[in-house]
Amino acid sequence: MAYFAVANHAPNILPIILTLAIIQLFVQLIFFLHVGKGSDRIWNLVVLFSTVGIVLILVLGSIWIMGHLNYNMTPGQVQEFILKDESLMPDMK
Amino acid sequence: MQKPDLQITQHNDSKTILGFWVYLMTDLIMFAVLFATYAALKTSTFGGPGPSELFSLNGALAETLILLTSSFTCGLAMLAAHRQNKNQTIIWFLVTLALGLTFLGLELKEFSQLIAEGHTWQKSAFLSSFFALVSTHGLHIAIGSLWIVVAIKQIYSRGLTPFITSKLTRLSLFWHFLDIVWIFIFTIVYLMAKV
Repeated sequence: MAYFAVANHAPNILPIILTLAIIQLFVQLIFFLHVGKGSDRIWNLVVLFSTVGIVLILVLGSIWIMGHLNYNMTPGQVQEFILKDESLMPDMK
Repeated sequence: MQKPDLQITQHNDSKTILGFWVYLMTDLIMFAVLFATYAALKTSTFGGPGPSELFSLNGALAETLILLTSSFTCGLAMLAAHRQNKNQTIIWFLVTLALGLTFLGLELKEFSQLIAEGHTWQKSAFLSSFFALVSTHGLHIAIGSLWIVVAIKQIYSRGLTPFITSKLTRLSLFWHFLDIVWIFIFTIVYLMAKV
């Protein structure tokens, strides 16, 4: 499990644990929730995929927007971000 | 007359399960909002300790294994229910219930430790979002445990009629769903804190 990878401080770990979580998700969906069986399976899958779509828009969109807001709208830190990320010196403007 | 009746029951049953599935998916959207909040706020610690200093991986691993096992025993209970084996169904649901309550106990212990050390939800945006996300899941587990108690009582007094079995199917869907949500809490909150 992902725990051991993190506990051993392996390098480049983030993609690995996310992949493991998604594998676990599919294992659970197929073996426990029996997605894809039963008479209404088409509608089950329609609802599942539209929900996955909404969830992805929500989560990725929030992170994206909040990251930019944090970058541009926090007065105390804007100067710091500009210095750090765009290698501009304040008196060079 | 028997056959059409049976068909109508099965038809209604699959509609009911589809409806419950839609509910689970809307619940998933609620969790997604909480996950997004957590992801956006997890660096806003207001000078306090961040995720990597606060969380213990061992406790979270224990909670994960307990919940995964309870999902497995819930599956065993459903298999027993489909075999019409009343006693085994009750026993496996009792095991599931015990594991669910153990999980809740561990989570409450973790929360009370955090609060005792002064890391309450009032301290920072990060802690607010952490408590909102994890305790919403805990609340679902608590309600699921209550549901298991009611289900065991119904199996005990009414037996495994098609009506009860259909209810049990929804209960097990709910329980496995909570397990999936926890996998993501474990990965995103606990494991990613240590990366």
